[in-house]
Amino acid sequence: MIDAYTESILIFVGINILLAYSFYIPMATNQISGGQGAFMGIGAYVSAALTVNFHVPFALALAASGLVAGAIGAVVGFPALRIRGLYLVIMTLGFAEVVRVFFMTNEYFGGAYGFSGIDELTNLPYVYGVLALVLVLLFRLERSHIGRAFQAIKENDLAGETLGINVTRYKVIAFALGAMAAGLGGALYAHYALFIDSNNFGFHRSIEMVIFAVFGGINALWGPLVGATILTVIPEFLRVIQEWRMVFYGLMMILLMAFRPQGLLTKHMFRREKPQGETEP
Amino acid sequence: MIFLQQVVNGLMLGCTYALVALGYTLIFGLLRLIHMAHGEVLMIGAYTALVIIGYLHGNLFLALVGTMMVTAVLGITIYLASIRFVEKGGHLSPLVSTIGVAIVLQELFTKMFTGEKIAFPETLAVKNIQLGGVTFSTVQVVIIVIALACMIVLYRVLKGTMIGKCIRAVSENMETSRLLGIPVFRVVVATFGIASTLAGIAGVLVGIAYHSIYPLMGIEIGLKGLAIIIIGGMGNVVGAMVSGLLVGMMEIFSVAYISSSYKDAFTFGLMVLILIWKPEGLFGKRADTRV
Amino acid sequence: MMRGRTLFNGMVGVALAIAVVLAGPVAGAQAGEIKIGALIPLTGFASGFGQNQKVGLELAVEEINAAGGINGNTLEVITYDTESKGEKAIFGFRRLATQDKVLAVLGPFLSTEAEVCFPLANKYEIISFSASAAKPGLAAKHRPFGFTNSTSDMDTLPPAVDYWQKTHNIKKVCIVTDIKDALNKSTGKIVMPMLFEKRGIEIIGTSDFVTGEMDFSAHVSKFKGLNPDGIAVSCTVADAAGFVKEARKQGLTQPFIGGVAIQTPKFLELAGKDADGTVTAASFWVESLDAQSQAFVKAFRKLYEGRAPNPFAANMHENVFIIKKLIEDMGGLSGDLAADRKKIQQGLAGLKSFKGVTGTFSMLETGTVDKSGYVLIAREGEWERPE
Repeated sequence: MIDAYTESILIFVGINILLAYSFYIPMATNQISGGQGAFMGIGAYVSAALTVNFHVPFALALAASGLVAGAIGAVVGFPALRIRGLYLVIMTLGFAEVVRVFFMTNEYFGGAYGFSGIDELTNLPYVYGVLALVLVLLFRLERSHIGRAFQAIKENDLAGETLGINVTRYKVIAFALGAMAAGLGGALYAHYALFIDSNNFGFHRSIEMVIFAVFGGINALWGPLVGATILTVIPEFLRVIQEWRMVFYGLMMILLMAFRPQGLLTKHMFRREKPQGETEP
Repeated sequence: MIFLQQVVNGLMLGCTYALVALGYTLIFGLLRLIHMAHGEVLMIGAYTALVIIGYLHGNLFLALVGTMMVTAVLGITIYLASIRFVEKGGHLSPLVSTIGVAIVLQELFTKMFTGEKIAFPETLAVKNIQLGGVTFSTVQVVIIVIALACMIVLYRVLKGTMIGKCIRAVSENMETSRLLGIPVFRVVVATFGIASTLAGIAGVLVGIAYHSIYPLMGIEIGLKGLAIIIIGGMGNVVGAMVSGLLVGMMEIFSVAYISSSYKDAFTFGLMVLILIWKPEGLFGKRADTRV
Repeated sequence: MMRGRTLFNGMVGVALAIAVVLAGPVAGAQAGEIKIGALIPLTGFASGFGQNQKVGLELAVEEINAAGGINGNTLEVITYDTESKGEKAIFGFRRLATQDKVLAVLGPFLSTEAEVCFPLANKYEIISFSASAAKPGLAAKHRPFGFTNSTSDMDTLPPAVDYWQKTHNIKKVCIVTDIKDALNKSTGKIVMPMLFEKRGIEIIGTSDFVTGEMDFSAHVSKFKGLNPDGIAVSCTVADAAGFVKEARKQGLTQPFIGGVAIQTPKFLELAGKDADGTVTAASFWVESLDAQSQAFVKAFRKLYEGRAPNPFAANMHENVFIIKKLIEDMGGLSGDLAADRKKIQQGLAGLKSFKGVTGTFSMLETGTVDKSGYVLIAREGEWERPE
C-alpha cells in the first residue's frame, strides 16, 4: 500500500479537481463566480455537523452536504441572473464574505474558534468514488441537450433566448451544480483536515479554485482535471523552492493570461478542423 | 459624547476607505476592469513611507511625496507589465492577471520584511485636542485633512483640467475618444498614476493611524474598496467618496454597538443588497450597468 | 471520437502525475541518525515567534551534536512550516509521523494548532510536545500523547493580578479579547474573569474582535465611556500593541494587564512607550541571573543577530534536551519505531526535576509542566521584575 503522505496528496488532487469543476460549470454558462469557496464551506460545515453532532453515516452526510450546497446555489443563482459579468464576480465575492462571517460568528458551528473533533472519514475510495460520479455526470451532461444549451448560452445569452432556450433555467442549473461540486469537495476536505475554520473557505480559497480551472483550460471538459492535478502535485516537488512557490504562481497567472488565456487544454486541441466560436475567458 | 467620538473614528476610517475606493473607481470607469492588486499598491505605499521615515529619517511631508512618486510609478508599471495585455480580453483574464500581480507583490514584501506586523515609526507628536467632550488627536485631524484635500483636488482636476476632461471622455466611450484624437494610451497611464498615488497616500495614512503594517494588509482593504465602489456606483467618483465615508462609519458603529465580528458582514451584505436592488449603486445611473 | 482522444489524454496526464508522485522523493535515513520532527510557524501571523523559536531549536541541536550527539548518534530535526494555520500543521504532522518516520514531534506552536495535532498524536502514537501552546487543559484533553511545556495564564497570572490590583487599587476593569485565537479566547473569557471575580474586581465592559483587527478606535472609545480603573488585554502581540497605542492616543491613562501572549520583547517593540506600566507574567525572563539561562541567552543572541530569545524559544530548547535525556535513559533506540515512540511517551510522562534554561520542573499527569511564573512589568521598552 502507499504511505499516508502520498495518500494525502492523492486525496487532495481528488478534492481539488472537484473544486476546479465547481468553478468550471457556472463558467460554462458565462457565469464567473468568485465565491465558490462559500459553497465549499457550507458543504464542509454541514457535513461536519451531521457526522459529529448527529452521528450520521459519512456517505449520507456527503450526499446531504452536496444537496444543501446545491440548493443554496440554486437560491443564489436566481438573483445572480440579473447581474452580468464583473458585477456577478463581485456579488459572489461579497456573498462569500457574508457566508464567512456567518460561520465565524455562529457558535453552533464553532464560531471564530472553528469546528474541531471531526473524524477522519475521507479516504481514497470516497474521494475518487465521488469524483468519478461527478465526472460521469459531467460527461453525459456535455453530450445531452443541457450541455448544448450551456454551449449556446456561453456563446451568446440573447441569441440563446431567441432560439427558445430557457436561459434562466440552465443558468440556475449550472450555478447549482457548481455549488454542489464545491459542497462535496468541502465535505471531503472537512473529514480529512479534521478541523475547519471560516477562514479556510474565504477569498483565498475561491481564487485557488479559479486558478485550477483557468490554468487547465476553462473551455475544455478535462481542463479543470488537468489543471487541478498539476497544480496540486507540483508544489510537493518544489518543496526545495517551497518558499518561492507563491511568487511562481503569481507570475504564472500573469504570463498565462497575457499569452495563453485559454489555459492548458483547449476544446479543439486535438481536432483537425478549425475551431468555431470559442470564447475567450 | 462617546457617540461623537465614534463618529470621528468613523470619519477617519471612512476617509482611508474613500481614497482607496477612488482609485478603483477611476480605473474601472476607464477600462471596465477591477484592479485586484490595488490594495497591494496601498501596502507598498505604507512600506515606502516606513522606509523613508524609519531608515532615511524623513518627515511626514517627505514620506508623502516619496510615496506618491513610488506608487505612481508602481501603478503605471503594473499597467504596462500585465493589465495592458489583458484589457481587451473577457472579464476573467484581467481578474486572474491582477490577482497574480497581487500575489507576487504580497510574497515579495513578505520576503523582504517578514510576514508579521512591524511598527510604523512615530511621525507626529500626538496631542489631544478637546472640543466639547470629544477628543481629537492630531493624528486623526491630519488624516482627515489630507484625505479631504485629496478628494477635493481630484474632483477639481476631473471637472476642470484638460486631463480630467480626457479621463472622463475616455471613461464615457473609448473608441469615440480615440477617434476624436484623444491620446487614449496616455490618458490610461495617467489615470493609473493618479489612482495609485491615492492608494499610496491611503497607505501612509493607515500606517500613521494604526501604527503597524504588514504585507497582507492590502487584501482586506482591497476587498472593502470593491464593496464600496459597488455601493457608490462603479465609475462614480462622488459615489466612491460618499460610500467610503458611509462604510467607514457603519463599521465603526457596528463595532461600538453590536460586535466587531459582524462588521464585514454588514459591509458585504449591503453590497450584495445594492447589487440585487440597485445595481448601478447609490449614485450611479441605470445605464452604467451595461457591462 | 475526438472526445475520446481528449479523455484518453486526460487520463494519461493524471496517471503520469500519480506515477511521478509515487516515485517521488522518499526521506532516507542514514545509519546512526536520530530523527525527530518539529512544527513551527515560520510564516503567517505567528512567524515572528516561530522564527525565534526555530533559533532556540537549532541552538539546542547544535549544542547536542557538538557534544557527541545522543549516545554517539547525530540528532537530526526535520522542521515543517505550519504557516500559522491548523490545517498545515495537520499535513506536517502526518508527514512527519508517517513518511519521515520521526521518533517524536516537537511543537506545534499555537494552541489552535495543538488542538488539531494532539488527536493525531494519539492516533499515530507519537508524542506531540509543544513548547508554547498554553491554553489550559489542552494536554489533559489529549492524553496520553499530547504534552505541553508551557505555562498557561491560569498558572502564572494570579500573582500578576494581585500585584496589579494592589499597585493601582483596581476595582473596575474592562477586558478586550481576541475570540479567534484559542489561547486568548480562553484567557479573556474564562481565566481573567475568574481571577478578577475572586478578588472582587468588577468587569464593567468587554469588547471582542477577531485576530488581525486593524482599527481599534471603536473598541477604545467604548471603554473610554465606561471609565474603568484598569484594562485587561487578551490578544496576540500585534493586536495588543495596536490596542494599547490607540488607547493612549485617545487619552486613556489606565494601566494594562496582559497574559502569556504578550510576554515577549516584540510586544514592547511594537507598543513602545505606550506600554509602560503594563503588567504580565512569564515563566522565562531574559534578564534572569541563573547561570544556565544566561549561557543560553548569550549563545542565542550570537546565533540570532543580537536578538533576545522569547520564552517559547527557551521552552523549545528545553524540549530538545528532554528528548535527548529520554533516549539516553531508554538506553538508546531499539529499532522498532512504534516501541521507541511509546517508550519516549512513557519517559516524558514520568519526567521529574528536569533542569532547563527556565529552571527546574517536572511533568504533571495532566501532560503539562509545573512551572510557575514571574510577575513582569514593562518599563521603557524592557520587561522588568517589579521590586
